[in-house]
Amino acid sequence: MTGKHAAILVELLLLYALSSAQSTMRPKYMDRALIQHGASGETVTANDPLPLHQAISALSQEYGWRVNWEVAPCYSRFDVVDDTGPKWRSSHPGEKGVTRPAGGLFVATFPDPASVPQPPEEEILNRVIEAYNATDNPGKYALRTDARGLLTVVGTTVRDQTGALQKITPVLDTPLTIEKVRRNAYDTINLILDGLSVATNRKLIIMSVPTNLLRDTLVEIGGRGVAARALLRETLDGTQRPLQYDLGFDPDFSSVFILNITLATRTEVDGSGRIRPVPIDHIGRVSHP
Amino acid sequence: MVRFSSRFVLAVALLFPLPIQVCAQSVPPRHPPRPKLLGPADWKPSPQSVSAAYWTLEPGWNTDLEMRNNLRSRELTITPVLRIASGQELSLAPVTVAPQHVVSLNLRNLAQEDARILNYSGSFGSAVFRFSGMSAVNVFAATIVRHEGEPIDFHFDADEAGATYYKMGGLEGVWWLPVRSSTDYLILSNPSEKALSGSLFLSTLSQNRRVPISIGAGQTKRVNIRQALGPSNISAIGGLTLSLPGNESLSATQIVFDEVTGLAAIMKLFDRDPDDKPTNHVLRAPMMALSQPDYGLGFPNGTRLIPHVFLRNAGVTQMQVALTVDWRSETQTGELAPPALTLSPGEVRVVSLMEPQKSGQIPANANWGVVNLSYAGRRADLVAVATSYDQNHRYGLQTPFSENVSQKWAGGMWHVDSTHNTLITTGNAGTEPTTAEVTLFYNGGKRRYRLQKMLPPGQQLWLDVGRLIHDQLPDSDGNTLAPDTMTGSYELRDLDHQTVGQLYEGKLVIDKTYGHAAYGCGTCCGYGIPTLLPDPFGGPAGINNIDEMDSVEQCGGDTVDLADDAYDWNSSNTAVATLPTKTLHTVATGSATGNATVYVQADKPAPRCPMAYYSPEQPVTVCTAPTSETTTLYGTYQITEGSFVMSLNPGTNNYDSHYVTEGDYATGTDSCYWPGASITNPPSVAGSTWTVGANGSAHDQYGVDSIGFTSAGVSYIQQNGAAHDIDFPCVVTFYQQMSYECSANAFYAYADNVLTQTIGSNTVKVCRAGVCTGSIPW
Repeated sequence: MTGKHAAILVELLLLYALSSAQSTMRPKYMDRALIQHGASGETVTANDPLPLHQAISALSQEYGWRVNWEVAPCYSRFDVVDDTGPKWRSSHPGEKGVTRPAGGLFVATFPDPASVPQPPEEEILNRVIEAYNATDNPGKYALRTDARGLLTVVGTTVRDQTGALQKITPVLDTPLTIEKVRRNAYDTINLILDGLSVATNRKLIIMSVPTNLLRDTLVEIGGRGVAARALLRETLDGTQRPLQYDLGFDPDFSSVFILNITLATRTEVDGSGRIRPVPIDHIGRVSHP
Repeated sequence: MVRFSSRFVLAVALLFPLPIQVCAQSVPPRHPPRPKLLGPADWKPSPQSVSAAYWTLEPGWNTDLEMRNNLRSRELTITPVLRIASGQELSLAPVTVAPQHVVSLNLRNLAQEDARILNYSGSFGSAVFRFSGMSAVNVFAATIVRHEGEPIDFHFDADEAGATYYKMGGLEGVWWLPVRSSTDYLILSNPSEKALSGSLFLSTLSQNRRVPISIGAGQTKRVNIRQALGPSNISAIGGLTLSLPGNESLSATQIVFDEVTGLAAIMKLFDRDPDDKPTNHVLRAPMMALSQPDYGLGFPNGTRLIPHVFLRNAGVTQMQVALTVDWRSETQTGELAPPALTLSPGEVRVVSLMEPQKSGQIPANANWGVVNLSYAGRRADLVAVATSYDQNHRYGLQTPFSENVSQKWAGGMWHVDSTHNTLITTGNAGTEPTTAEVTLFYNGGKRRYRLQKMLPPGQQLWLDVGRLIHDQLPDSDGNTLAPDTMTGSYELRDLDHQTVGQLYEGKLVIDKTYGHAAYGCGTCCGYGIPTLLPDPFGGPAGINNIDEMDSVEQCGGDTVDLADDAYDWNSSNTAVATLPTKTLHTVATGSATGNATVYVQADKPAPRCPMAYYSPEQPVTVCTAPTSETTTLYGTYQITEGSFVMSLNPGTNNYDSHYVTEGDYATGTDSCYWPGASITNPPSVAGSTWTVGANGSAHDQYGVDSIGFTSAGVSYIQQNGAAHDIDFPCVVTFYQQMSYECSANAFYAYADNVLTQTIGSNTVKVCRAGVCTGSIPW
């Protein structure tokens, strides 16, 4: 895609969002980010309250990368906007409404993964994050790479109630002490979240996880003063599957952090032309009706 | 002949289809159907390059670099690299080319902006085009070298010379020095990473001369034939042989030009295949200009051309050459078939086609002909070069001899403006009618003009692109070319023979300013090594599975299913599975190997598209796989998740110790989601794996499968969703496909289930395959 085409696409998306906003006063977002193979490299176009998250999810699925996500916990009027539904508002006049992150359109270009030193994830994600941090979308982010090369996109900065940028300590940086005993992975994760709730005085819940896998996997995880992130990763690694986590945040629900755990997948087209996510450790397996 | 690795190859490549035999199972189908287009192939690029033998920026000379992206649906970024004679490289700025679009770079113009190129003024060498792609034939590239202000220009197609799989046993040609002012250059460039050496033999009427040749990696040698022959030479024409004992491939071309007369001719070289065996060959020159020039060439009134065919027997035995000319005028067509010629070993003969026109064997007003040459021997045993110039060599053109036919040709650039026109042709070289399609791409590759025509054997489709534009002639779909269209690219396709095509091709770009036409060639497009899918197959006895034979059409980068074109379907163990057609039928538990053969044009080494037999194999495991499962409610987990156990059917079999795994057969939906919610969207199953009969499960059972959001997650949706205008009850739907592992990596998908979690304002209900928890207060 040429720069001109990218500009046209952006204009169309803006017009789409604007026309939608005029009709309902709530913007219309994209279901998923779009990746195009363009003139100055590849382009990812996202339009979502958390566009970086949408962009990185699309990249991970396109290329089969395993990337964790820890949202920047935005809360101020500079980072979140009112999202109270008009129907609910009409029946609840005067009550506190709800918000959503104030993000929207985000476009980033990055080189063809085949053209950069392998593996390409780190370089490309850094480019995309750098492009995101240069926008006015909510939160600033950084890429962390652990000793084994596992990647985590971490929210580092939000805006406070005055609009000033405020550095934050990611909640999973919190050191925890957990007794190292054998228990299933599901219970271990609950223990980590409970420990974090106590240590940070924030609420953390599990939204959706591969229950069967975590419940049936026994791990022996623990330690003294170990970062919660390390404990969580070690627990997920115990399943021997390419699990990745996504730690979200909602300021409306008692300022809750919300954990989702999924298998890292790559979008594949099967023999029938159906597009579906395939776990990256199952790519190449062929199942057939 | 093309060699492919191990299990895929059944036999050798041939130049022409085998004679059809009675047994339909042992030979390719006579009329294989059109392969099924499945869409763009999975993009797994690797470094690719093609190289053209010559560019120059010597005084008075200039060069254009032409690059076409042959891919159907993906842009390519191509880096042109100039190598000077010493092999030193200069990378130019990468160029991004839209799908099916062609771009051209004028080196002298580029030099105005890039001092590095300016430093190359006075230089010459070879050009390399590097890109990240699936195949070298994703790109058509060429250099167009012209002497400015003169009717002298040459078109050099890039190819894969230098690639390790491209072996060359040497080159055969004819040198030509028609008058004292003529220059004949043999240009040899070595695109490989190691030096090569050989010997150049030049023959004249009176002597043979040997010139040792040694070319370092990346280097270009330009041999001045007049100097190599020495001052004593009095011949105007002779034989040329380059022997390459190491069988390396190089980029080579031979040009003859004359700055006094304006002559410009390419003396085509024919490369030897070291593994070649004698067989029948047909060389074809598709656009031979006869004495009466076509008006479209723009030559001055009264210009008479003298059509000549230069022939040389480069073999070691006497050769019979059958020459025919399929001529045509504005109103008539016909064939001239004079008696066969006999050429002694080493003999060079010039055949004039002017005489038959003078004698009336070909009408005097015939403009064009297709010259066909048939002989028996090895490739390059017959050297043939066609020329049509006026007596002063001022006006004229050429058409190259080739024996390539293809199902698809990806062509280069066409030009139409006040001083340029382009003629494009394709013809049916087969023995039965076929439908030819010509597509002109323009406006950056985004617009297309498509002509389709049924061609009887021997007939040509002839396009005068300037006339199509000027007269606004509609295409087969009723579209016309925009009147201001000036450039574009083209493709030719044999719609009725898409595995082994019958079409030959030709293109002439006419420069009316100087009265010269330069020919260009297309890239023939073949298929990559196919795969028989599923690979491996695993499943129970008593089912039918429709196999695919997937291959990538290498130019356009699309995957096609060749299964309907394949034959000799076979199972190594019919007691386990039969494979009489593309329908695999499983019989009984055990292992077998399925295979089938397909006969297609291969993709290597370009510019050839040799025929190849491929026989991909398919490991087959027939096991006691289940054909369905029965879901039973087990209870709830963490209050809001439904838990289920499953029994595999039929229950008469033992499935214990095998894995079952879940995947998605469709994208899930979630009416409980709102933008910005911390909920994975779209929902997908967790990808769990269970071992049947293990971890507390009974015989032939597996589980527990717990489905749904946690109670905390459900609370989050209930408490916040309403204010986001989520309507309760809302539903999360997963489309779960269950697969059973027959053997390592052979999974059989035996059940598709719909899973739902329905969240009300204070209740939850979970269902799996129609089995539900009932309403759970929450």
